Amino acid sequence: MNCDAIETLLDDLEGAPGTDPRRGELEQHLEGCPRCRARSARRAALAGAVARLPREVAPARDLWPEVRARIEAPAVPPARRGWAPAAQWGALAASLLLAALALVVALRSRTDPGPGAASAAVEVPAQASPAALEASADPLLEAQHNYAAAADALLAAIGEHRGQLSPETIETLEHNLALIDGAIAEIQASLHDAPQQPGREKMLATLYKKKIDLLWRVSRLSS
Amino acid sequence: MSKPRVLLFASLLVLAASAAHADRSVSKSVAAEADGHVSVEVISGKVELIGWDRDEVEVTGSVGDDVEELRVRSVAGHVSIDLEIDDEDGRHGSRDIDARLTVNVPRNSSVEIESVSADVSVEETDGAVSIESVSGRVTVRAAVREAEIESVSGRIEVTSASALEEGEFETVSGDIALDAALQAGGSYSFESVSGNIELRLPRDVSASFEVETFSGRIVNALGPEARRESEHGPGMTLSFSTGDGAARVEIESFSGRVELRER
Repeated sequence: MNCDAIETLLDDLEGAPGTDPRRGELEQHLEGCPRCRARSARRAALAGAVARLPREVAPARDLWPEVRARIEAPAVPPARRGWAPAAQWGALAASLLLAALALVVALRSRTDPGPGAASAAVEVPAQASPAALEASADPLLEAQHNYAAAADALLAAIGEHRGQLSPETIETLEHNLALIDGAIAEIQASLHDAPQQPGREKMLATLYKKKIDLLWRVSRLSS
Repeated sequence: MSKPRVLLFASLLVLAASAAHADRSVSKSVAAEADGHVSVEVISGKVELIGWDRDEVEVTGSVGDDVEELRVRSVAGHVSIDLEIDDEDGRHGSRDIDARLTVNVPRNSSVEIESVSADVSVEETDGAVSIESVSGRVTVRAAVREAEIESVSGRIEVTSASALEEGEFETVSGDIALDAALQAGGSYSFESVSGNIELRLPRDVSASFEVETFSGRIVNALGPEARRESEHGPGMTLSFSTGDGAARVEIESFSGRVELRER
């Protein structure tokens, strides 16, 4: 098994049971490969840090109005900072964003109770990042920032390996990113005109997630 | 050089280029558990996965010139199928890495397929399927229990003669079409940005439906008409139940059309 396959295997085994038979294959490779051993150790350290985080963060007050204000603000364009970050850091950034979005949606449910509405305590996904939790005193205000940071990191990871993607895939990526960005812009404009539209706020959060999903998937393919 | 000679020379060049990128046949098989897990990863081409009544996974077909090896590995109930690519210069994008594979798996296997632009079809399997694609078309014609399918621009089409227990379908611009019965207690979600979403369900379906679009039209032949979400835009919402509302269906589209039809 080569190092690329090990990278995929490390992804696959994240969260897999300890008895997964592929772990034997992984350990065998790690014994003879210092590069993958270091990569695995970095991931283990990160996973350990995440596992030590608390699972629930109770909002001290109703933050939704401020969150909505942030969402209505124009999206922050990703800063250009070269193609340095590797895909695993893109994954970290993505989990960071997903944690933030989960909080947004959960709090929206809280202020707009309906069937299956969230309880007062907002659950944070197990994969929430340290940064997300550090920001937990006012986590929802970080949603836009996290979104831009995650998209930036993933775009950088894709750019680094752009040559490994076919022209058709790059075209598909660009076309669909433009579709999502256009949809985000339209919803933002709509919310600017009429702020009280919970359905559209939820749709906006879905579109953010979809953009990160798309970037994450293509970054995996290209790495 | 005369015109006929130029044509002959050009034809020879084309033939030479074709020969340089000739696909080669592949065929591998491994023993498998009747209800094990099978994963397939390809980049481009076509994958036809078909269930059969043998405890064996068999892969046949052809691969491009830059595929070094078709790998079929089995470890304790998990069969993984992927391609080792010749990556000397690290430029997958310009290489001939197409794979056209027929994969036979035990009928009750749970199946996971990842592709970039390959068209994927699944037939005659009863287990769970999980498929991710970027631009390839995904077609499932099988009595699968659970389906989790994501595509960016490829169309997703699922047809099942029996009830689907759970389903999750997402695209950005690809269409989604489901023709199946729903299971009591099951949950089903459909999301797209600009793709159309069409559900064909039995006349006596028992489910609660929550449908929302930003600008897409909603056509409902199973219950009440959709209404405008607000005076601030063309968005539509639809919330209704049929029967006991035993299953839960959530559909969200930005600009794609949503249609609920009888089978």
